[in-house]
Amino acid sequence: MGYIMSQQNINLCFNIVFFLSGVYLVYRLPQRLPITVTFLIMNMSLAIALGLDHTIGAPPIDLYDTNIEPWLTLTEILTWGMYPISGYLYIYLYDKLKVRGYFVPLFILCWSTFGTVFEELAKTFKVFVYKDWAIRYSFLIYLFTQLLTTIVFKILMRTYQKTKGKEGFS
Amino acid sequence: MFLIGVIAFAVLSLTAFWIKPKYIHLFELLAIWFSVTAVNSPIYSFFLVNKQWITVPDNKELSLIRIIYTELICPLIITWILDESLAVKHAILRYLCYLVTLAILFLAGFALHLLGVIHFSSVGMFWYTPFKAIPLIIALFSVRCIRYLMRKDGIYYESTKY
Repeated sequence: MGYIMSQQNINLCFNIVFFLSGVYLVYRLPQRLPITVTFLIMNMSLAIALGLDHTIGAPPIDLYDTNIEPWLTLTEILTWGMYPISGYLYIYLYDKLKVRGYFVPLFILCWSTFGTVFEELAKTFKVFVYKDWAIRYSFLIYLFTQLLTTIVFKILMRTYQKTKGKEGFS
Repeated sequence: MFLIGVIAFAVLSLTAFWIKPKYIHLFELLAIWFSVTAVNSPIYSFFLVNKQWITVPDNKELSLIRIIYTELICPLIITWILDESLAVKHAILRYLCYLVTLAILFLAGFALHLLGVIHFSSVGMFWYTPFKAIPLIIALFSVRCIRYLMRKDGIYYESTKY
């Protein structure tokens, strides 16, 4: 019981530290992107992550658990908070570094590798408890997710530039 | 065969939605879709794992059907109805549309129960519609948010139909 409690505390500390650091980082970064685009990218990151966690991570497929327990706990809220932050940081860097051409796949590869390494770290702190899952599958998921995020970001920015300042656009 | 039918239905419905004229802005549509997906998924876990108000058979094909319903068909239903109803000026008509949405979601859940994809307990059946109202409320809230942010970003878009 004591072992489980200490594991839960370590897990909670990890979640709190990274969530608060992420919030602080997002708050401190100068605003580069339109707020609408930021909101939608954050929303999308959350939707994809929760969609996966509660489909392939839930019975009967049940490939992994999040935050030690298989059921929903309040700690999940902190983990959920990290998904939009990572989506925003990805797009922020993509825009800031002006990634173009052949650097796009390279950027996606780098961020997916970073995501995989971070997940390995999170796994150590029991944010993810694998059952029939392996970290190499996560790498592929990150690859597809970042690609999708990039495509959606481009569509959003194009729409934003097209509709900004137009009244009664239809 | 059932799985093929569900996939075909999802793909054709998505195609129909893609080509139909839209009455609200793309940002509003995406805000609805993403919010519904984000809220809908944990509700399933809450029903299944936390409360055990539903049980699911240990069948991969049936679980795929449930995933397609949760991740594609349910957000599509809500987004489609809100695309039609949010452009309506009359408040009563709009509220009726929200009620129709809940009725459709309840019927869809009941159909999944009858087809054996999920099995509701009596308590689960009772709580299904109130819980399914959460994605709808969150979707309406996210539309409010995105409209406010659009105005802040200088995007002025009047979505009206009637």
